Order: sequence, then structure tokens, then C-alpha cells
Amino acid sequence: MAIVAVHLASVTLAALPPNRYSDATRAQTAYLDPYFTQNWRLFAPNPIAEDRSLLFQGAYIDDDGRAARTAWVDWTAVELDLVQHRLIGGRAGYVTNKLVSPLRARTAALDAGQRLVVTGAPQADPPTWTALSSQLEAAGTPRESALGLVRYERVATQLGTDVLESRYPDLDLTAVRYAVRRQPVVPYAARSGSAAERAAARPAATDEIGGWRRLTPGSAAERAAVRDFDRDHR
Amino acid sequence: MIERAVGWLTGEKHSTYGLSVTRMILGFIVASQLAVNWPDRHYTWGDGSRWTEEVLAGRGWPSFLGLFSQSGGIGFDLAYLATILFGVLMMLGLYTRASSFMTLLLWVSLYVSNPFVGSGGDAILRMVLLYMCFTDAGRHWSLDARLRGRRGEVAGLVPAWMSNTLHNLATILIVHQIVMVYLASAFWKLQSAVWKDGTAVYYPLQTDAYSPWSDVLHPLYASSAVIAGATYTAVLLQLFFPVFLLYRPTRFLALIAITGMHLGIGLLMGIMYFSLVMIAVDMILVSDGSWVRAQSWVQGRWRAWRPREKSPGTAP
Repeated sequence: MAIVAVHLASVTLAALPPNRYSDATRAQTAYLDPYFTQNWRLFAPNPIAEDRSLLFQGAYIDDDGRAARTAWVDWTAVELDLVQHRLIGGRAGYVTNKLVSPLRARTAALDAGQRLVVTGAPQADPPTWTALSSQLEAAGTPRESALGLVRYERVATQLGTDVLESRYPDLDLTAVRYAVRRQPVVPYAARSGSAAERAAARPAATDEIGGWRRLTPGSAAERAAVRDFDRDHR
Repeated sequence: MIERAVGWLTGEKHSTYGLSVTRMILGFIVASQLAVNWPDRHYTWGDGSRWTEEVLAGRGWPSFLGLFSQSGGIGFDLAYLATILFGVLMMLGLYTRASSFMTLLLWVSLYVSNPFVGSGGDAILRMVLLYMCFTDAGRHWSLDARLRGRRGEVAGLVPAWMSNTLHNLATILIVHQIVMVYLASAFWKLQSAVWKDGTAVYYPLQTDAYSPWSDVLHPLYASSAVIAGATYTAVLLQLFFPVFLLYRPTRFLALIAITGMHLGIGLLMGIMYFSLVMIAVDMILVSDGSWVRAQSWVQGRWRAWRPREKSPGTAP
């Protein structure tokens, strides 16, 4: 009975928006994570008001021996095939949608010099993951932050490698990078205009382009699954 | 007062009909969701999601939940089919406690295999499923109930008062969790200008991810009355939901309104399973008396509708 009472109090404190009581009992309610994590914002305080997409681009050597780049592949658009015009959307429709926010947050927390390490890696000679971690720490990034950032860079790069190898099976890819595209929705005040007026009122999309990374392919089974998904929904 | 509370807790099991309805809907959600996602299962949770491993490793889930994240190919498919099977067994209420526990174990193992697939609905589902394992959710409208009717009640492993107490405490935890979802969400909303000025619902309905029908329904979404009505209804319903529960008439109206709200969210925002989970858990809040009356009404309608058998000697 006492356990239930303590749990009820813990859930209450953790569920409500941060306040002096929840701050004071953070250590006592830490046991709730991850199974009983209380995150019930549900489009609050500020509901999502932009389209977010994750795109991938590959580098390769063309037939003349020159460095070249593929077109950008909008992988979020491929996933959204599972959502658009469906009464019951597929669960894979939001995978990169949920990846984009933590991916951006880790880069946004960096200063200009640290960000240059992340975004400035060259196409011809992308760093290894160990080298990227070392460069970030050398630029003053705390070790935990650097590890977290590299972890997310790595998952995005691995997915990007699988996607580009699916899309360009005949190219000899040498490097991969991602871009996060964001475009705010049509402003509320412009909602009643014609389609053309609404399109004109909508703020332009902005791309945040990451640095070049070495190819990081998944297992054969992983690449086959990504290829099948690409074939079914592109 | 204390005597009365102890009596309430140990004397008999409460909300048994509501829990049975919740059990059926949650079983349906698990089974149907996995069936619908069968074509994309490998990208969503299987081999095609292994690129997430670096992030998954940092989430702190125990290793015994690694069934899906550590299996691939045919092994993954078999575990996936087993999850559907146990979801169906839970829905039908056969060996309810065991099938609920297996559904919980398999579902959570699947959920943790891709950290970028989960939603608020999954979080509620796993918490309620865990609590439900301590309840008698197969008491009514289940194959277990039918078997009990034929074979008679089998003596439990624990005394009745202990079984009742566990059931009722788990029910309290479920109801408390539901209330906290609504209340916390309302408090978060009240901190934002767009929820207070009645425009918040407009924004997600303009995005590709949360508006599968925006090209068809744009005139609706451009209406300030519709947007303001939906925004304020969401805030007020969630904020006053615990208060509405205290009185039978307001509870009835609140449950109808919030079920409508969830259906609207599910259909218009493309997150039907989140909505179904919330509808399922809200069903616990309908009193046993109401469910019994509803059952009698349905049975009465069924008897009235069913063609009468011809009696012998009736002219053709």
C-alpha cells in the first residue's frame, strides 16, 4: 500500500510541468525512467509548426575520375508515404521526424568553433568517428556532449549510407552527409488566402547541412530492409 | 473512514466491466497494429532499424527486453507473430492474466527496439498493461468467463482479500495515470500563448506529418471558429476532466466528449492508435452499473431483432 502511495506521488510530481516540488524530488522520482517516463506535453506548450525533413547526399568519383555528388534524397518524404491519405498511418512514418529534433539539439548546443568541426568535415577526407570525437573535445566540447553528438551523427550517417546505397546501387560512394530541412507552416493570418497566396506567404525552407562522413553501412539484412522500404514507398 | 476505505479495497473488485472493455480494446490495438505494419516491420522494428543501436544503447532499457532488437529474419518474424497471437488471446480473454503478461513482455520488447518509433500512446499502453496484469481483467466478456461458467470458479492461489486489494490498487494506478495525462497536458498547454489565444490546433494541421488530409480539408482548417473551438475544447476538457469525473452526469458527458476528441485527433492528425489507446483506458471510468445496463440494452435489442423461431403448426 505504501509503495502504491509513493508511486502515485512520484507520478504526480513527474507528470506536471516542472515546479519547485518536482525539482526538489527529482532524485526520488528518477526511478520512473524509462518505463514510467511522464511526458504528456501532447503538442504543448508550443505545437509543432514546421515541416522537418532529413535528407541525404552522397559523394562519389564519376567516370572521369572527378569528385561528384548525388542529388539530395528526402528520406522523410519517403516515410511520410505511410501517413499521407491513410486512415491508419504506418508506425515508420515518423522515424526521421523523431530523429531530427535530438539531432539538431546536439549541434545547436555547440559554439561556432565546435559547430565548424561538425559541419566542416571535407568531402575528400571525412574524419573517423574517433577523430571527430577528439576534434570536438579539442575544440572545448565537454566529453559527454561530444559522445552524445557523435552517437546521433553516427545513426544519421548509417541510415544515410543505407539509403544512398539503395538509391544509387551502381555508384561507388565515398562519403555521405545529411541535411535537416525546416519550413514553417503558412502563418495563421494568411490561412484564408488562395493556394498561391498561401504559398507566397509561407516562409522559405532552410537547410542545415552536416559535414561529410565516412560511409557507415549497416549489415546486409539492414541494407536489404531499407532498400525494400525505399522501393515500396519512394 | 479508514474502515470504509479498507472495506472498499479488500471487499470486492471494482471496475471489472470497464477493465474488461479496456483489455479487449488494448488487445485489439496490439494485434491489429502489428498486422497493419507487417509489410514494413523490418524497417520499423527489425533488421532495418539496427542503425539506431548507438542511441538505443543509451536509453537504459534492461537486456531482457532485447528479444526484438537482438533477433532478425525468421526469428524476428516468429516473435512478431507471437505478439499478434498473444494480443488476440488478451482481446478474447483466454488465460487472461498470462496472455496479458506475455503481450506486455513482447510489446515492450518490440517498442524498445527502435527509439524513434514510440509515442505517448505506447507509453500509456505499456504502463496500463503492466498494471492490468494485477487486475481481474478477464472477469467479464471473455473466454475465461465462459469457461468459469461451465466449470465453476477455481480457487485462487491467494486469499480473496489479497486478490481484491491487488486488483483495486492496480485500478487506482491506472485511473490516476489517465487523470495525470490529461491534467499535465492541460497545464503544459496553459503555458503557451497559442493555446490561450485559440489558434494552437491550426499549426500541426498544416504540417505534413500530422495532417494526412490537409489538401482535402483545408477549408475546415482555415475556419477560425473550428480552430478556436477545437483548441479551447481540448484545453477545457483536459483541465476539468478530473472534476467532471466526480459527478455521474458530467462524467458521462465528459467521456463522450473526450472520446469524440480522440477520434477527431486520430482521424484528422493520422495518429489513430494513440487515440484508440486513450479511448481504451478511458473505458475504465465508465461504472460497472452503466456497462451492465448497456449490456442489457444490447441484449434486448438483439432479442427483438432476431427472427422469431416458427412454432410447430404455424401456417406457412
